Amino acid sequence: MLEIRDVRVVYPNGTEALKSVSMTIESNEVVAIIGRSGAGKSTLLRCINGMQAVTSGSIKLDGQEVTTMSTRERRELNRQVGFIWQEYNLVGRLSANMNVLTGRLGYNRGILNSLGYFSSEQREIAMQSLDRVGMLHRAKFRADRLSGGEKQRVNIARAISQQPKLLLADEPVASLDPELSWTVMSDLSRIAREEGVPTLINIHEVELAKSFTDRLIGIAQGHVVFDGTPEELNQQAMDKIYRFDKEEREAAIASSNNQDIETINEVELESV
Amino acid sequence: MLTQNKKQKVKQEELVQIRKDILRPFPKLSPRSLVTAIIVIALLGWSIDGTEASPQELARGIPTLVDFVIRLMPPEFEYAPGTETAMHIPSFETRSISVVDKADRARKASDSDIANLSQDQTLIYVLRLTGSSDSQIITPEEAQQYLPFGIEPATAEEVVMASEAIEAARAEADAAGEVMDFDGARVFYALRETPEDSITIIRRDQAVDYNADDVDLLVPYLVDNGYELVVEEVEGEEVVMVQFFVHTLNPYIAEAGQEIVLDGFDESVMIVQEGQQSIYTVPYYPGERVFAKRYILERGEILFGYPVILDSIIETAQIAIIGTLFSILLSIPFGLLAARNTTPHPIVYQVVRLFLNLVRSIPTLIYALIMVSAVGLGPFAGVLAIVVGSVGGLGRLFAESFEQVDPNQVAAVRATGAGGVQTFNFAVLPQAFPLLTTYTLITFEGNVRDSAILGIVGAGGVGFIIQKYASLFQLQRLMGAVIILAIMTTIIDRFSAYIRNRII
Repeated sequence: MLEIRDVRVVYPNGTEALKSVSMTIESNEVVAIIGRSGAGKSTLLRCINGMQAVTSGSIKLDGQEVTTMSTRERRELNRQVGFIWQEYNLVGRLSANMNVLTGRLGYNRGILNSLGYFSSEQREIAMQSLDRVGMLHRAKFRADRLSGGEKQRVNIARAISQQPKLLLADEPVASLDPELSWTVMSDLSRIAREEGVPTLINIHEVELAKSFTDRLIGIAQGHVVFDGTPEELNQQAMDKIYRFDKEEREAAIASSNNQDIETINEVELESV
Repeated sequence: MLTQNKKQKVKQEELVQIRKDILRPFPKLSPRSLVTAIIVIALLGWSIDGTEASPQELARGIPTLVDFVIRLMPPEFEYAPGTETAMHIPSFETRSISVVDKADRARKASDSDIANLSQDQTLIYVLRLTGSSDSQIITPEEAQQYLPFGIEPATAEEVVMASEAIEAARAEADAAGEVMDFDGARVFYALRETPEDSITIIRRDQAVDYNADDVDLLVPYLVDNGYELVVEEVEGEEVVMVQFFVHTLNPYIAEAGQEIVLDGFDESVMIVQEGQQSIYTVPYYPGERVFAKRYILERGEILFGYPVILDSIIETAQIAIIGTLFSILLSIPFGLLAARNTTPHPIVYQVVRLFLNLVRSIPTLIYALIMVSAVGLGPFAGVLAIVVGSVGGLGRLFAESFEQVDPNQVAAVRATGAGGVQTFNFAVLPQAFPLLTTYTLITFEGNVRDSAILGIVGAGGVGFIIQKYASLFQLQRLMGAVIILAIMTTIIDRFSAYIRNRII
């Protein structure tokens, strides 16, 4: 379904965000990508969606090469790939329903569309998407009047209304409180399984990832360092993903000798 | 338990209603929005009608405009001594092609006429009809009768001078290979307004703009009656002759009580009553209707009242409305090209920015002067001046609005596979809308003030009347007009503040 081979991304400022990442995602898999901030998780998702140019390597979606697409092909790709944003990025002045309908724009071109016309077929799909995430009663609310959790659900509805082949979620619950994170994640994984859409979720909270996904992929320093089921994720694997530079840091701290090693570690972990 | 069920039922009904609403292919139109739309359309239609804004008018004006712009080039920055004489007969400059042949015949007629003049006679007026060999000379005393108050007859030397200038213009046109058409031209006049003025020769078909039919009607009269105007008697009714002097000196005969539409500019009125004539120089507003009888009854003085001021104030508002409308239509593409995040290329961005800045740096009144020469006097010239005068500022403000848009929301819509236009419609426009409205309304308020002054150069609106009152020392009327203008401006400002609050 999705094949990523030796993807390397170097930003124009010289930062090497991904060194060599390879993975294969089968259809109907819900996969969590975990890793420290700056590990390259977001970059990877943006590469799959064509929003970030790849320096080398290949990404194949359904056998189609993503990295060398023309603008027109990329538009087609964008239509087939639903993207769920951390900061929701709903158009604030449009209603929730209209925001979900924007997910149908790729299917609905033409002059009438500029006047806000969507065929009843398109509207039906949008309505069902809203219903799926339980936001139908907020359909006519302006998006900027919704609460964080509601916005994220509408965001999910927008992505699934695209009837995507692949769902990408970039930190979908990072801006939500723990309780909401839990419900939104469960909704997201439930819908992904019901739709049978392979889903990649970038996520910080390992517990959430373990509870709601079939497979975890750990990225550190631009490489895949872990790939397995939630049960396989043991302390050693966690250390590889999150504390790969433990000795280095301990040495640095020992040399400065001013601060308690454990507090530093805690601070670091929190920021992760 | 029961209440809970009830609550759930209400919720279910609500959901059914929402479902119904959002499944409608087009958003539901409330009666209120329909009424608003109808009012807006009616207002725009009324304004377009009032300002005579039409594509034909514009199409007709464009060649003149291009010609005007070409004449502006190259710009001259130094004062050249000796150019005054050339400047002295500007009418030939601008009218050379149409005047030439007519004037040529005039010269031929004049030559013999001038030769036959006795020493103490002065040639003041030459009138000739095409198709007849008659050319008649009248004395200053006779001519004075036809000349507006304050206008002196031309001297023989001036006629000769004018003829020479015409000859030169004709030779120039011949050399340039111009073909000239003289059909329909019959009467021409030579006259001057003040001793300092040059002679102006105007062909009859150029006078068409003023009162072509009247000229046709009157000329046989003049000929048959030895150039004397006849006051007719019609069934006991007092008959009045109202004489209009435009530059063409075409008198108009009106019956008492007849409605006359004054369509000229800088007209004077002469009222002849029972052989006695009195001349009133009054400002007219083009399109004003006067009743011959009324003025005689009211001591011959023409009342120039508030209805006219109101009309012109309304026209001022109409100019501002239509000018702003077209300005918006132009500013959206300019704004898109001049916004960093929507421009197709940085070079386009720089060029459009520069262009908008240049356009903005010239005051609206200057544009009005240009437009008056392009499409003629009247409110349509004012509309064009307002459009060009405000598009520089509004285009830039629109660009700023587009730049304020949250790029993440735009990226999110683009990431659904939307095309460029769709992304603009569903991500950029909704976000920029409040700012666009605010800037448009502010520009509109400015345009109302601008359009009030355009009349000074003849581009319609209340400025024309204010200027006339000021130059005639009709200061109380001037004050009246200014107060009405202030009231209108305040009302419009209030109204736009109301809309702004509603939208944001």
